[in-house]
Amino acid sequence: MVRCLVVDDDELGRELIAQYLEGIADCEMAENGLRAVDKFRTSFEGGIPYDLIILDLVMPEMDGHTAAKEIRTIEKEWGVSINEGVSIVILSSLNSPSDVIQAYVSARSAAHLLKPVQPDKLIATLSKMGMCKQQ
Amino acid sequence: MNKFCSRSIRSAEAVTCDAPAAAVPAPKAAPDELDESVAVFARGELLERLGGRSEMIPRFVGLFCKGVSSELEGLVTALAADDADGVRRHAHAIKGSSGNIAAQRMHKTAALMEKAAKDGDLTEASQQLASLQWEYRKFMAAAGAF
Repeated sequence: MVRCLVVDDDELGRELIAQYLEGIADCEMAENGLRAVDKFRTSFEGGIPYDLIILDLVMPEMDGHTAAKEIRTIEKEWGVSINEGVSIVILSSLNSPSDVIQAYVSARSAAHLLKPVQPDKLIATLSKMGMCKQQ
Repeated sequence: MNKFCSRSIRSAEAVTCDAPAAAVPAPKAAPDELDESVAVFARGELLERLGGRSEMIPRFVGLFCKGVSSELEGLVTALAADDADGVRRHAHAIKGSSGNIAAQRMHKTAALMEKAAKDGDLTEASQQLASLQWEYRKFMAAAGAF
C-alpha cells in the first residue's frame, strides 16, 4: 500500500482524494504547507517516509511551492538523491504554463493535475509512476 | 459552527445547511458567461467520480457546505476591506471546492470573481458576490441540503 500525504486546505478535496485512492493508498492529511512539512519531517526522520505527496498550491500559512522546496531541502540534508525523493503530484486549479513550470522547479513534481481530477486520471497517473496498477 | 452551516456529515444522514444569508436577493442578471447548459449541481458527474456510491453524497455535500460558508464569510470581509488579494484567495478556494462537488455554476462564477480580483477590479468582484451567493442557494436546494 502506498503511503500518501494529501495536502489541501479544502477538507472536501482531501477526503475525495482519499476516497479515490481507497485500496491503493493509506492517506494522511495536511491542511496547509506548514503542516505538510512537519508531517513529512516527522515521518522521514521516523523511518517511515511517505511514498507520495499530493499537493495543492494555493493554501494559507504556507503555499505548495514553499512546502515543496522545504521538503526537497530536508531530503537534500539527509543525502537523498533527486531520483530517490518522495514523488510529488501537484493537484491545483492553477494550470497556466508558468504555474506548471514553477511547480516543477520548486517541487520537481512528477505530474501536474487539474482540479477537479477524475479518479481514473489520478490512478492512471500513479500507474505511470509505478505506484499502482491501473484498475 | 459558522452562521451559514449546521451540518451532519455522516454518510447516511441528511445534510442540513442554512441559507448563506438571511435574504440574498436574486442578482439582476446571471453572468453573461453562464448559459443554461451549466448545471447548478452535476450530480451525475459527482456520482461517477464516487463510483456510483450515492450514499456518500450527503457527507461530501456537508463538507462542501462547511468549507464554502467559511470562505464566503472571508470573501465578504475581504471585499469590505478592499483586499483584492484576499478576495482572490477566497474566490480561488470556492472555485476549487465547487469544482470538486460538481457545483458547476458556482465554479464558473467563482472563477470570474477570482479573475476580477486578480485584475484588481473589486467593483466587478463585488457584483459577482450576489451571483455567487445566489448560485450557492440554488446548489443547496438542488443537493437537498436545506
